[in-house]
Amino acid sequence: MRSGETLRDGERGTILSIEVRRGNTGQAYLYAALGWLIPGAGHLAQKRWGRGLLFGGAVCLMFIIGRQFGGNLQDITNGSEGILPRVFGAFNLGTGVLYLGSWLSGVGFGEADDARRISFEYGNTFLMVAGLLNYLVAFDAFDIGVGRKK
Amino acid sequence: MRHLIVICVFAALVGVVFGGISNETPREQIKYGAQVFAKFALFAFVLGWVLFLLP
Repeated sequence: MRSGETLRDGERGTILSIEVRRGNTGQAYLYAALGWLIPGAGHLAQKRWGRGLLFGGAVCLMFIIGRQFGGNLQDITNGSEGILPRVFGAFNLGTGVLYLGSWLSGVGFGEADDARRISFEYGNTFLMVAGLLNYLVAFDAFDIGVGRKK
Repeated sequence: MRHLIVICVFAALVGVVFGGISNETPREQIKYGAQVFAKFALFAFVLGWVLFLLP
């Protein structure tokens, strides 16, 4: 029986055993980390070009729209205002290099002018959901790497 | 009108990712993505009117 093959009972068609395809787990973690750091890169590294570009594009577009709407990113290291900003910061952190780049350059954090804009809350939501979606995308890259998905 | 466009953009982007990560055939991925889009947009539209009509 080869890898990934299902053995069936000839007469009744009952599944006797299933061998699950296993990829390299260490490499799968690397794909997940890459996918988190650069949206879509975990899929691109596994030659899933279509999915990688689609996911990367969707997450990046969501982040850009969020910033254009005046959304602010939350500083995950800021514990002075309770736990909620940290939770939102963890959501934002999902965008990987987009969050880290903004954090290092100081853009998009606590900009008072943005809070006056009518679309401010929309922007915050877009930024948080972009991060959460990228976590899902990174998990998907892990599943492909480990052999659970095609 | 702008709120509706924003929720449609939001629902479309979420639908793309949700549809893409679902473990089905491309046809079913598109179908599921479209379902997610429709449900997000419809729910937001209905909830918006409910909250608007509440005193």
